[in-house]
Parts: sequence; structure tokens; C-alpha cells
Amino acid sequence: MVFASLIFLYIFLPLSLLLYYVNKNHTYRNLILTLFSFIFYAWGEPLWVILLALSATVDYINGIVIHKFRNRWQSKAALIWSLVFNLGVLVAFKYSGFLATNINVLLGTNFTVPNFSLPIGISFYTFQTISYTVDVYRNRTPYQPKYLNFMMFVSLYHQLVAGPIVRYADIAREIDNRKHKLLDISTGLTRFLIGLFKKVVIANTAGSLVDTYMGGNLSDLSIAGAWFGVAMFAIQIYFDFSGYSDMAIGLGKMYGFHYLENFRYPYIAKSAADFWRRWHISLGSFFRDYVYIPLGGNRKRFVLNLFIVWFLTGLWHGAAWNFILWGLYFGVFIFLERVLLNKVFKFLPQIFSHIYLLFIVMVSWVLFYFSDMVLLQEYLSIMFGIIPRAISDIQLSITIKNHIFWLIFSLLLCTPIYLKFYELRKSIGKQQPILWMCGIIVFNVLLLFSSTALLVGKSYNPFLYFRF
Amino acid sequence: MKNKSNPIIKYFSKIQIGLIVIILFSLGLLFFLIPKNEVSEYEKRRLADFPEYASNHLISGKYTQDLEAYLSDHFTFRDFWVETAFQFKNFFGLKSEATIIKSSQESDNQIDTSELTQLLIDTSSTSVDTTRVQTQDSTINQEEPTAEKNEGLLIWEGRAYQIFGGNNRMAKYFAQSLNKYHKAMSKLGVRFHSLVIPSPAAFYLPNKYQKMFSNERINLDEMYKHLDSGVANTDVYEILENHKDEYLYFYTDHHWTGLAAYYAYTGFCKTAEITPLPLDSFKRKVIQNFLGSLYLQTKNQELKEHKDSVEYFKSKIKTKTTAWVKSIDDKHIRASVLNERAKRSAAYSVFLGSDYALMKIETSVKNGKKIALIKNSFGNAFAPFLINHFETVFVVDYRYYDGNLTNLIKEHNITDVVLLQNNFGANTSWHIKKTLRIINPPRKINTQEPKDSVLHKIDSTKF
Repeated sequence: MVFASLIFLYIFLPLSLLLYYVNKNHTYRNLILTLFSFIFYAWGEPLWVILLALSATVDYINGIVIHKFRNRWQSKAALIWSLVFNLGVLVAFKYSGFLATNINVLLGTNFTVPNFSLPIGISFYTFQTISYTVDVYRNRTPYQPKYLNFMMFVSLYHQLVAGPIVRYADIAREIDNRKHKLLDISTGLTRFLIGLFKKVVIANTAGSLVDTYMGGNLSDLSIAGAWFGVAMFAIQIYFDFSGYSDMAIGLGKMYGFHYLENFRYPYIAKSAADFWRRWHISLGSFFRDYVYIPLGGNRKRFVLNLFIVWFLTGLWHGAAWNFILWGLYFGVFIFLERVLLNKVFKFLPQIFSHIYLLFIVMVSWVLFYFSDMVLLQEYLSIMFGIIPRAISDIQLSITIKNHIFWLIFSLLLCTPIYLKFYELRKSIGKQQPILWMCGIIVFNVLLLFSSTALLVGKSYNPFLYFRF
Repeated sequence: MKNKSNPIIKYFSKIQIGLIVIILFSLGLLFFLIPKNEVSEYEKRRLADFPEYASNHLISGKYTQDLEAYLSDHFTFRDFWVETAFQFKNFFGLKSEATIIKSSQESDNQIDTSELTQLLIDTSSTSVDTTRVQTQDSTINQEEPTAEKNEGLLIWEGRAYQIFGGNNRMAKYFAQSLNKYHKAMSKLGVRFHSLVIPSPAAFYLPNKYQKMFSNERINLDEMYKHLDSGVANTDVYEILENHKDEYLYFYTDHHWTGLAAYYAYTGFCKTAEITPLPLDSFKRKVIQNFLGSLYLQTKNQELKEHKDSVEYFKSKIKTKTTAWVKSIDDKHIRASVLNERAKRSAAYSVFLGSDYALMKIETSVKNGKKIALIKNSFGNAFAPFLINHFETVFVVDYRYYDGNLTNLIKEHNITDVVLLQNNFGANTSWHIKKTLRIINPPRKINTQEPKDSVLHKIDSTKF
């Protein structure tokens, strides 16, 4: 199931909230949450839910073993088993096809290429359970003795399918015992609806423009059209992904969990390194804490460590060469920034570093979008005028005019404009609480209303050949 | 936490949570309580049925998908939400002198045409092996890809133009399919005629917008270049161009008008060596307030203000019409050449009443000549003119007809066959396949359900 769907909004969500809050017993609530999470997952993936349960069970046992045999060989063995199991599952279900294809090409072998449908959320939950066993091993967090609680942690539907990657240590206390505050529920609801709006109204609209410009026929694409296409993709992927994170964080709050932020206005960054401190924060910090630092970090072999991390970051996003290229591309720029660019930008006005960042990010999204290397090359060639093309076209100017308010609005939402609202909350919210809260209620209803309309509208499908 | 002690904030938080949860809950609940419509008046289509349970569908995820489709088709106040979505999207930008409405459908340029090539090359497909028929049939069973939606729409000065994306390759395929028809017809001693209807963009759009469209004149020239000399072809483009200042196309619908069909008919008569009736020998009638398919698709305000009227021309010839609705195995029903009760968004159905799989029109003309018109809905406006010159007119909708045209011709001693196609259809492999299929029907085999074509969509849940 996905959040931005009618079935989630109008059946699953109210039902799960109602059944959750109807009884105060903590075990009951954890049970309900786990149950609904399993339904949520099984809705689209009835088979893979078994894999999820298996994965959770294995690491539940690993956690206990690591704790009970602390400082003995069994503890280390359980950690290694956890890593092997999780990475094994990930490789088997996400990368086996890619591996087999490449080995066949490279060695001329003839392995049958496995063709699994990717189990949803596998990249997220395997990382979450790895963070658990590693943190228990490092004594950073207590182990979880209750099976139900651990199952709930792994399956929590808030962040199961699209992140953020929530580490066990961050919510360990809330799993065992959490407070449900009215204000949390209220702000969580608002946050959820903002995320829904970002996904349905902004990301989906940008997505249909991406389909036209990047996914359409490249033979009549103009230079400006190519840049517009990738700009729309930048908007789509940011609002899609951060919208999901907003919804996850909002849902968490409604149930008494506090997840860490996953995005902090990435498009206002001034360097690639800065961008990655603002984009998908939970992934970046995962690689930092569980790969980069254990490898030696900045202290030894920093260049190698850096490229290992960026290779893995790219690979994590998908089993294809373009994703690896995309990761390494960022690695190169982060390296260049460290050794040279940062020093140069110090002497220039800030706008230069900002333009530099936007430029490299835009190009990176082209790498991200095209798995087909031929198309990738063609698209980049159009963008940079290597293939002779018209500078602009009438279709583009009409499209921009028809979307101008939506476009301005979306670009504004890429900036820290929310922070202005927090300031308003401090002033108006304190002095005129009634006015403020009425505003919030109207805001909520509008978000829900517009998102629902577009969700239903998406399925509008008139029959063009009349038959009565 | 902040405002912890503020009772007003707490009070209003309760209202906020209560209100939103009640909205969510009651709309969900109403879905279960409100009786369901089978058909949507608003969208002119059948709504999704409640999916039948099958364990393999549950495992593949198809069952839950169908459930969601059912929910969204029958969602509480669905029409209101859809209308709101259109209104809301109006706020996305400014009105420009032209509006582009893109369709998310796959364009035919990317569709694999290898199968089509097979069909065109292979002339003896009566003895084909089952595997090939199976693949062929499974594509044919798919929903009709409305070629008209492929490249989207341009709305300019109150008229909607479907963006034509045909190309020389498809034009050549179509010409080859006509040649194949011609060959099959000559064997039976039947004269074969062809008409291809261009779209209005070629006649009315200023140059700067033309660039977004493939050029139909070039496309048609390419098509005609590959035609065998025996095909009695009428260049409808040329004829309509001479009358382009008249009301040839609707503003809000993708079809041509009865008047345009009349001009095409005069051209057809010329190639067929028949004397056409003058326009004033018909009784002219008009249905007002027609908002057609392109309005329905876009709900565009500009189009709404530009209501069409459907003009039709009554002949003095008496007719008796029978029709087979979906399949020739169905029981036949009484129908008529003109359905004068047609109105509003269905006004175009004044012509023939509907798209029947097969119609048989017996006329008071007694000259021994019989004709079969192979058509899609564009042919509906054309058919009423044929009754003046033929004893019997068969109207075959190649999209639905499941019989064998060759048998029909033999059985009824048909003397002429005319294939009328719009240029969008001519440039769409689905339509070409369907027209070929009725002269070479595959053996019926229960095929698997066609798999949904999964478009590569970027979505955060796919990482």
C-alpha cells in the first residue's frame, strides 16, 4: 500500500488510528501497530511479507545472542551472521539480476538471470536491522527482549517502504514506552497532510511533465526543453521523496514516535558535501557511521574510503550502472571540493557556489533518470548543445505559462519557507492562539481536500467512443 | 514542550484532529454505504466491477490492485472530486493563447512493430502455429489504445486539436495493409476503395503550432506512394482542403462533421464512377449544444464556451437496418441509419446510433450493387450517404467485428468494399492489426490476460 492512495487515507488510516487509541494498554497498541503494518505491507506484496518476518526474526535472535554472549566469540559470530544475512538478502533480491547480467557479459558465462520483483522497502528494512545488531554489539543501545516489540520496529509501516532509515537506537525508548501527546498528534497530522500534498500536488504534476520531456521522444526535444525536463525531475524526486518522509514523520508523531528529519532544503546547499548533509540524511549518516568511519574515515586511506561510500550510495539506489555512476559522480565532486573547490569558493560571492551546486545536481539527475546509456548520452548531448537542436520551442513556453503559479510555488517550497511559519507560530500563535489554530484547521482541510481531488481525478478516464 | 499549558491550543487541537479523522472516516464509511452505480454518466463509461477473488491474483497483487481501482471508481462523490481536480488545476498557471494537455499514454513510436511486420509479410496465416496466434490475439484483446490521445491535445481559439504523431514508417505499414486488402478483394472479384481522413490541425493551425505536429500531407503522400495501383483511393485531404472554410470538424470532438463526410462522399463517388447526389437533395437537420469527447477529456472552459452543432442530411431512400451489437453471435436488433434522438455529448451518435460490430442496411435502391464499409466511428458520418447508391450496405466496425469478412462477401455477393480510416488510426499499429484481422481471423484460443504494460516510473518506494 502507499500513503498517497484512497485506500490508505480513507480506510486504512482512520481504522488503524481508531483501533490503536481505543485501548490504552501498551502491548495492545504495539500489537495493533504491528498487525496493521503487516496488512500495509502485504497489501501490495503478499509473498514478500514472509521475507520481512523472517528478516526480523533472524535479527531478533541475533540481538539476544549478541547481548547474552557479550565479549565472547558467539557475540561476534551473531553480528557477522546478521551482516551476512541482511546483505545476502539484499544482494539476492535486489542485485542478483544485475550481477548475473554483468558476470555473463564479463566472463562470457551463461547464468540464467534471476528476475525477482524487488520486494518493497527491502533496502530500508535491511539497513534498519543492521543498525540494530551493530549498535547492540557496540553497546550503544540495549537489546530488545520482546519479540513483538522488535517485530513492530522492523515492520512499522510509517517508514517501511520509503524511509527514513530509522535506527533502533533512536526510537528504542519509544518502542518500549511512549507518551501520546495531543499536540504531537495535532502537529503530526499537519505534517502528514503537508507530505501528502507535496506528493500528490507537486511531485505527481512534475512527474507528468518529466514523462513528456525526459520520457518522451528525444528526437524533437529542444535545449531549453531538456533543461526544463531535468528541472522537473529535480522537483519530482525531491517532493516525492521528502513528501514520503514528511508523511512518515507525521504518522510517527501521531503514534508517539519521533523520527529524525530526513531532508533539510537540499536545493539551497552550496556544495556537494553540503547537499548530502541535507538530502536523505538518514542514508548519508548510515553510510558515515557504519561504513566510512569503520573504514578509517578521514584518518587513513580517505580517498579510497570516500569512493567506497559513494560507490555504495549509488548502488543502494538501484541495481544498474547509471546509479553507480551517479554515486561516484558525487564522490568526485566531494573529493574535488575538499582538495580544491572549497578554497576557490571562499574568495567568490556565495551565489557562485550555489549555482555550481545546482548545476552539478541537475546533471546528476540525468544520470539518475536514464538506465539506458544510449539515451543518457543523447540527453546530455542535447542539454549541452553537442547535438544541434533548437534553443527553445513553443510547446515549452506554453507549458511554462500554463504551470507558472504551480512552478513558482514549488520552487518556493524548496527554500526554508516553512521556517517563516515557525516564526509566525511564535508571534501569532502566542498572541492570537484562536486565530492561529483556526488557520491550522482550515489549512489541514485544504491540504486534504486538494490532495483527494487530485487522487480521484487521476483515475478520471472518460470513454471517448460512445457506446450506449 | 511549547504551549504545553495553553488550554486553547489543546482545545483546538482536539477539534482539528477530530475534524480530519471524521472526514477520513465518514468518506470511507460512506463508500461502503452508498449504493454503487454500474455506469458513470459523467465519464460515459462502465465503472470497475468488484473484483472476483482468486488466490493467484491475491499473490500476484492483482487482486488488491483491482480492489483499489474499484474503490477509486466508486469513491464517495467521485464526480465532484474529479470536477474539483479540473478546477484546481486551472490555478496552476495562466491561460495562454494555446493550452497543451499532455496525455501520459505511451506513444505508438515506442511500440514494438515487429509483430505488425510479421502480419504484413505473412500472407498465409490460416495455417499459423498456435503460439503466434496466441501472441497476436493477446495484443488484439487489449483495450483499444486511443491513438487520438497518444500525443496529447492542443487547444487554440476554442478548438481542440489532437497532436498527430504519425510517421513515414507507420504510413508505409498502413499502405501495405491496404495492399493486402486489395489483393484479398481482387481474388473475390470485389472492388476495393480506400479513404483516409486527415485531422483539422493541418487546415486551421498557424505555422508556429504546426511544428508540434507531424505533417499529415507528407504522411499521406508517403502512404499513397506505397499503394498498389489497383486500390481505388480517394485523396480526402485534397477535397477537404478546398472546403476548409466550411464547418468540417467539431471544436470539442475528435470526429469530422456530416458536411465533411458529404465532401468525402463526392470524392468517393468520383473514383467509384457514381454520380453523387447534390447536397440540397437531402433534408438538412441540426442538433444543437454538442460537447464532444475532447471536451469530456479535458473539461476545458474554452471548449465549453464553444458548443458544437451536429448537422446531418436525410435521404429520401427507405431503409431497413439490422445490427449485431458486439459480436455476430449475438441476437441481432433493429437499428436505423439516423438516430435522431441523439443529443448533448452523444450527439454524434445521430449517425448510425452507435458503433455496432456489424450493421446490415437494406435500401429501396434496386441495382444489384452491394457494399461493405470497414470503419471506426469516423465511418458513421459517411455511411448514410452510401444508402443512395447500393441495394445493401454492410457496416463493419473492425474494432468489434469478430467474423470473417471474406465469408461475409461471399455469402452476400458483395461487389464493393470501402475501408475508411482516420489518419490517427492509419498511423496506429493497433488499428492496422485489427483491420487485417477480419480478413485473416486467427483461430480462437483462450488466451492469457494481457499483462499490464508497466511504465518505468520513478517513485521513492522503488529504492
